[in-house]
Amino acid sequence: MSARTFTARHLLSPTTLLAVVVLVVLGVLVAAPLASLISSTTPRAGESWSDGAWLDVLASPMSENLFWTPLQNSLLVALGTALLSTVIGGFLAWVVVLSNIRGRKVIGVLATLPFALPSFAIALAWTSIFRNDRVGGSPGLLASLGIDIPDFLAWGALPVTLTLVAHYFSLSFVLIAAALAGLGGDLLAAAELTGASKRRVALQIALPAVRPALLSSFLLAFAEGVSNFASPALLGLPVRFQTLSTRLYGAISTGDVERGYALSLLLVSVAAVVLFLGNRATRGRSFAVITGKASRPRVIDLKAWKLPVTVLSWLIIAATTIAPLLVLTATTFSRRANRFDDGFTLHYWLGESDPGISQGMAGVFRNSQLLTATTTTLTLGVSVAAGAVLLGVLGAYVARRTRITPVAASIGFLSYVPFLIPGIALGAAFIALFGTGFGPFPSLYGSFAILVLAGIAGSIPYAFQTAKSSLGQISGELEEAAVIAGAGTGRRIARILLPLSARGVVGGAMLVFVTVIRDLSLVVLLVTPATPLLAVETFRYASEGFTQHANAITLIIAVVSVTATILARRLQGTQRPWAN
Amino acid sequence: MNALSITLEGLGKSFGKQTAVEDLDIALPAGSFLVLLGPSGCGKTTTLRMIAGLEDPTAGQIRFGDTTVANGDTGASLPAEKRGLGMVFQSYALWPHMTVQANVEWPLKVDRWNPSDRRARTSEVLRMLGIEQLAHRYPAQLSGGQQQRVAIARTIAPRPHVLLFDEPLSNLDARLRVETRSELMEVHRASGATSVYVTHDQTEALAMATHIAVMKDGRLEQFGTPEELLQDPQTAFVAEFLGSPAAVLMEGHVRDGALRADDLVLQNNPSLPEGADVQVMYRPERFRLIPAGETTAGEDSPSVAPAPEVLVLESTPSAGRYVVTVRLGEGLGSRRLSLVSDRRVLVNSWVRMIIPATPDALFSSDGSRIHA
Repeated sequence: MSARTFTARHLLSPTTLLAVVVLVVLGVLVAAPLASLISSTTPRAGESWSDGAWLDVLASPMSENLFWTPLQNSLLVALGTALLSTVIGGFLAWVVVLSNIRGRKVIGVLATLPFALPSFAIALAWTSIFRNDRVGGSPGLLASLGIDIPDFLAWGALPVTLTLVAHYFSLSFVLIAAALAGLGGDLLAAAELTGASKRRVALQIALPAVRPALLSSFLLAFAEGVSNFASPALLGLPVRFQTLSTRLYGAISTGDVERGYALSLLLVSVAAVVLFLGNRATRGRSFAVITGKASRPRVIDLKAWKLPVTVLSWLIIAATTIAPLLVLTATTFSRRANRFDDGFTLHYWLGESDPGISQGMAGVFRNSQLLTATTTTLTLGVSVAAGAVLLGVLGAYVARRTRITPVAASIGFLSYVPFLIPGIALGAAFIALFGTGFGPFPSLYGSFAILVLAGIAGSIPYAFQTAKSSLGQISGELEEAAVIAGAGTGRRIARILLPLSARGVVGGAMLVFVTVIRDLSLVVLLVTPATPLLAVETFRYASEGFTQHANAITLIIAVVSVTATILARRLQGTQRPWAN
Repeated sequence: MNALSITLEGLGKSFGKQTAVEDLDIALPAGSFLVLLGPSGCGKTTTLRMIAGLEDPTAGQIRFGDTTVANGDTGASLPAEKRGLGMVFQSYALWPHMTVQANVEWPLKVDRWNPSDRRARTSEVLRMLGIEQLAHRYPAQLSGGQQQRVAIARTIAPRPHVLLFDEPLSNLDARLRVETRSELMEVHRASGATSVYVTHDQTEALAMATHIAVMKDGRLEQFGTPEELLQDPQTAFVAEFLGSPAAVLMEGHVRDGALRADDLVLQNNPSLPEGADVQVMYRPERFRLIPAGETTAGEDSPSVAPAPEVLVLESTPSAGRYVVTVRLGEGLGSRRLSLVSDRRVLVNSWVRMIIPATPDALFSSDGSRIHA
């Protein structure tokens, strides 16, 4: 075959065409929004940097309020979240993997739950308990019992950090538990055989050996803490405790878009730097995989420490999983917000509109706007899941098959980038791009389509990774055998690859679905009354003081999320190596 | 070097209802090299871990010299770290965050050696295993064979009285395995420590052991020197498990005053009761193969010597001789036998197999040895 016909065949092959399509879609969904975020904050012709948003944000009389204080708050919250999540997650991981306390398997299951809950669930539960009368509205349970709640416990940095920890420690737990279980019992047995004390083995062998997991848990929790929107919005905004995400939300939702975009870019840089460092620091340094078969972890007899450790573990689980759900549930039945002494009612679930209660709002199951929101939310979840997974599978397939290295690298890179972008900043980027329409695209602001597109963009890193690992488990020879049998690209994908990777891919789709329906930060800037979503309605109700309604919707989202998460994990056969 | 004898007495271990090891009796002289040999799941690793103190026995005793280190009947057990032993794990269990040097030195630090002795001993064992140039590398930067040496160095550095090995060579490729095997034996000689070594590879066992304990289903099949086990196997399992190739076993039964395998007469007037079912053992080197057409006359073949025709399936040269696999009989009832032949035979040809006139051993159908 001559070089020319080879090239021609190469360029026209189905894989190449598919690669072009995938790259174009990723370009529109990932590269274009970011580019437009950047271009809309750079001075246009005839303007200079000094009249632009950047100067306002970074060096003007306003910048203290606009940027520096929120940055400080964001970093403070993120640091607290990262430290506490890693300590608590690490402690529980150690308890579940290495200790011999009773019920450690149950603890292992419950410790993964908070991450399946919407992050605002715990913040709402917190306000239901600790809210004081500083900003008016109904006070929380404790205040209505006559207990005086100091401001630092009701509002601002401390509650924001603690509610984030209650959510993200779950992530640290999973990372560290997997690392500890991966160490294998031999490693620790070898240390014990030398005669070293348990403390010395823990401090000099076990802990340093899972250092990469500790580091990546710290950095991930840090990045999440910097970018989270729901907690600071519910527990900080009312008392003007601003973080970068609430600040940029405030700027954009009040029409101050250019400064909002500038803040978005700053937030992206902070989060991206942290996550990028994390990825670099831990790449290729997974200590767990060395050689040989892993042995069953050796259980440590805690003896006298058994009781305190058990109690502490259950306290953590109770405070982060059981108590918030109980409080949320109980408050939806209380006649007056956050009070149990005025009797209970089903009104907020089932009641008809009554002008005397909640300004005439019907119970959540009777409320037509909420029913619309439910439909929209579920439709959005399904559309995004389908779109993201389709794109993920095609992208992963192309990256695997193409012989043009830069193509594979670009697909990999573009699919990874949204991971570095906090949801609210990605939302801002979509407004910057699609808000006014460009090229062939009409303005999409206020449409359902912009929600779907943003959702797909936000989910693509996960969808791509899932598809890649699902396809990766299928030996290349299986597909080559089909090539030799004469099957074309489409047929190979449909008949060989999809059936074999179906479990992983469907499980991945369900997890995308879950993240979409419980997400607030990505959609909060994009939603309009025409496209109501449950999470945004919750946020609105909570800000307007309709506590019972907000909590009831949160519970509905929580139930759907947890169920779908469990189903998805089952489908994917997620390994929980520490659970054996 | 003050090596210790190791005694296992009625040793047993059960996990809940499942019995992993049962009624194990072994008396191992000081300084010897015991190989625990058996197929996977036979309880050999559990036995090793009980000797190490990583598992507690549920019955019987373990003694090092005169000291009882574990008593399954009373539950008393000396903690692993107080038994003065070293162990090489199958996974090597190198501490991934420490350099080679630090891995070897850490146990000495824990044992409170003073810094100069510590450094001297560390470089001594690194030199002994030929890995002194790797001292500052991390385990993840080493090949499997190098990791293995580090694991051995770390284990022998504190001069343990007892050395334990859990399938240490199973993760190495074939050539490296043979090389490391001889190094391990050198380490054993140099340290003088009583050693216990677990493997499922009988070649490894025969090459290294002063004593072998063959285990099956949690029980001891036979304990003895390699020669004893080869020459005088006490069970059919041991006979079939050891040797390259292993002894040939044929199903036989006594009918009309002759020991027969199907319609082949193996031996006339055997000292066995009429109707008995037995397994007949021959050492593989005692067979002779002659071209199909030739008569069976020869020094080793009395008039009645059974000499069925067999099909040659494989013929592998080995140390100047040939290991030949033949098929006896046709169809479903056919059996494969591996024997040793002095002469080359053509694969896929028919030859006559002269079976020795007297069997080397007889086993009852449950596998136990029948002593004539």
